[in-house]
Amino acid sequence: MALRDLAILGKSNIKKDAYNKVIGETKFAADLKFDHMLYGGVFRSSVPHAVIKRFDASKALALPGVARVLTSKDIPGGNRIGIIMKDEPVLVDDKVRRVGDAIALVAAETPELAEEALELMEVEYDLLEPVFTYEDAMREGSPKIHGDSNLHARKHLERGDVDAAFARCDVIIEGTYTTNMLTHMFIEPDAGVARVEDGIITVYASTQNAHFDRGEVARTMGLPNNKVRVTQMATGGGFGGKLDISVQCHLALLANATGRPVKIVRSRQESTDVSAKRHPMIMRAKTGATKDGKLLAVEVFIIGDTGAYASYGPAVITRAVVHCMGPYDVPNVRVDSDFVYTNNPMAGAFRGFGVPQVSVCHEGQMNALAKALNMDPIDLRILNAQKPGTVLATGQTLDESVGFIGALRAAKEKAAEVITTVKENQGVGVGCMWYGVGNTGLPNPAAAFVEVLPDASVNLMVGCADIGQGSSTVMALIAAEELGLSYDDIHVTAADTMVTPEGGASSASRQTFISGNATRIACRQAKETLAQTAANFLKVPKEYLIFRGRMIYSAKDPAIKMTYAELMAEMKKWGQLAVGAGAYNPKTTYLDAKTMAGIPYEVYSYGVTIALVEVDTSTGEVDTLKLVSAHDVGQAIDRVMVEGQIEGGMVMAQGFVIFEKIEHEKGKIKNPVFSKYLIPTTMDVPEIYPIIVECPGEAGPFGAKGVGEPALIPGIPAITNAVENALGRRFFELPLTPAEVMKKILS
Amino acid sequence: MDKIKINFTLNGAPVTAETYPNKRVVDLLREDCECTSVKEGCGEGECGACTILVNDIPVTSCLMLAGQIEGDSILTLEGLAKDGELDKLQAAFLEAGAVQCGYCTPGMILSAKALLLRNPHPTREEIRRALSGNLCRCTGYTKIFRAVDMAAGN
Repeated sequence: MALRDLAILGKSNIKKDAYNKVIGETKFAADLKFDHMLYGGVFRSSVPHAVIKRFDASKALALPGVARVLTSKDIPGGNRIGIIMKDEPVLVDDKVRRVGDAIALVAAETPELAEEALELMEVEYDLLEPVFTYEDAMREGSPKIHGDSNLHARKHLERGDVDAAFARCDVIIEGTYTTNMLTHMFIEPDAGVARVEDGIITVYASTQNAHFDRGEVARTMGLPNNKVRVTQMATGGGFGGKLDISVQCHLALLANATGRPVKIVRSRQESTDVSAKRHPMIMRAKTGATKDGKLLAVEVFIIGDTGAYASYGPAVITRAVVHCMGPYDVPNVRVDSDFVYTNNPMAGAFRGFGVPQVSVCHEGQMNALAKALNMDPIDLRILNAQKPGTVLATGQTLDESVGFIGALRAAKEKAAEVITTVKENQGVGVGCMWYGVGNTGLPNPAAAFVEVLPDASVNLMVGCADIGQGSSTVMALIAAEELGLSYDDIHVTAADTMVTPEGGASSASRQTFISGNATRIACRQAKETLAQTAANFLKVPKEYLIFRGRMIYSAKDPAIKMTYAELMAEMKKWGQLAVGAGAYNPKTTYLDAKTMAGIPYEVYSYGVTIALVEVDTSTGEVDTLKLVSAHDVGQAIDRVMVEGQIEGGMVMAQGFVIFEKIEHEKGKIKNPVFSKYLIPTTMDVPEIYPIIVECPGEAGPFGAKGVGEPALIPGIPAITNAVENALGRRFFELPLTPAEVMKKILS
Repeated sequence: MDKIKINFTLNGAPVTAETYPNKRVVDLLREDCECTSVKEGCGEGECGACTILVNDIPVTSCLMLAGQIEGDSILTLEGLAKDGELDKLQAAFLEAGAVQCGYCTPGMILSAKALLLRNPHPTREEIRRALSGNLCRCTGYTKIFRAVDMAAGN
């Protein structure tokens, strides 16, 4: 296949943003400074469910140095925001739905004055009965958080005859799994600055989706989209937690009202309190197989709590339902799921959109099934693995880019090499996952603009926010490959809504695939003109031309050639410009409202982790020793960057399994800071063996698929299963803290 | 409270700052000295993003007050490259792919610098310990370890 003959891709490069980051020059939002800048703060509710009886900011306003206080009455446009459903107020108008709802804004001359002003604000509430659990939310006559029902979403997916299939099974495994609320703990707290100039409101923000932010700010301000500019600043981690609006609308309101630049930098606590969390889930599963290990039926019921607002809840429930049987060919599937609103912290996107949670369930089931059948866990998975041509529960037939079996074999081979002995109190566990790249059955386009300049350097403009994962580097490499130029020839401008076209969210592992395709299409368009001009000059049909290594030559006779410099001189001579605008929208279909039949994703990534752990049976402490993780990424654009995703994902998986849990009581988070919410440190890191499996298809740019979330997911069930296997006991709830592990050991 | 005058060396140059004695060093460096490479991630000395070197010792500058650095020599990431030439650690962070979002990078490089100043060829265990106060949520630390190894010529 010609597309395998790559000049640029599949090697390792220094990321576009890395140099400025190692010399300390990179500007994050909190680093910005403007003349006459004010500092903003947000007055937030301390109760989970209430109507505001009285709000009084007169003492705050009397404080010298306080410029303005704003409430919902001061919003010039609409007062509802939200990624999928517009259900969250910019500033509370009707009622408070969670601890931390924004009630009023202040702008003052210094951050300290803003803080002082917030302390002087007074509020009185008429408390409403709060709702904190699924059972409370669904109880008849329960207080309603939005509208007339607390049911946020209900999904049903069915294929085949599940009941008949269970009747034919030789073995049935049942289990109910619980995963808890987690928080992203990106190291940079949310921050931004807004200013108004020549009728344009510009917001500089830490964000994963500048183009979404623009729309929300414009609606809040009652302005057309082209009067709002959102510029993504270097963003210190996101993992899904910077997809919701954080400071953007508040900043625009304050800058507009004061006529001065305004900065808001959230404290760690404020950031954790109000940014979206990982949905806690309860998953009840029944898995049936023949005595040979062939899966016949899977039934799952999933409960999720989206908290006070929907955020990405609708995406999380659909992803969880589509993926919860795992990366297996299961002929009979029935899944039901309910997500509810409560007065708990808002849950939304967090690396994996529900797939990490359901991986605990389907891999817990597979681990138990392998034991029940006394089968090798990898062989059991190979027997049931999805392959090209497998028909999914949604009815979709998989294309050729299904590298699951390759990943299973690669992981097994490496594990045999690096895990040679398993001592007492040690265990080996396997975890697998599949992950649809992009949004679930929804349009999610992205675009790119490209111009090849007279000296054959290139300006590439993409809406895609680079949050450190390296998307700008990926786009540059794809452009260099397509145009036949070098990586250094490409300059990327990203996520600035006055310059770049729609990029959609840097989420759902979609940017390499979608913005990458858009970039390639834009480059092909620019290449059309370039090729025609070269064909005229070289007197060969343009179809014969190859662009590679900054040269253009004939595939029939490589001696017929010209340099890019010569080509650009020809372009100038004939008044031709090498420009391209590409857009790509994945080929998916909406899912049927009743059965969820349809094409939820164009491609799927696969991952397999094999973990070796050791449990200290006197303390319950789990030590992750080795993680072998193989990932089918289609085509690696940059190998070191793929490895970096896998290593980062594996360590995040350790946190998920062993330490992390948001403790909340009556809607209030009790551990919003690093000293109470522990994430893995250098002392926890195991030996990680990342393996890149390439199983390219026609859909992605040069066959590439996403890896950002897949890098995390299989590590979670692998570590969990390794602990189970070390102790010979099953675990149904994460995290496996020393206390929980000791309970099992002593039980 | 009255402002005081404090004298210290910042990235090799003498500085006199007029500031409140209880101003946090992270704020002094960021607001008054243009050293915005010093990042704040938590404000409680837990994440290490605000790490600077004070007389070659790594310190979380969110827990230090301006009055405490009188006469000290302060190094921030802005001062690490000499005459445009990257420090070995900076070059190794680039080469190893140890930078993702970059928010922990300044503190991480400076903690590693302090380690290499006192121990030019640290073991992996010594690297882990030296960086254990610097949190990173992106990289899984593995390429950071490799970068320190590379810079140390291990």
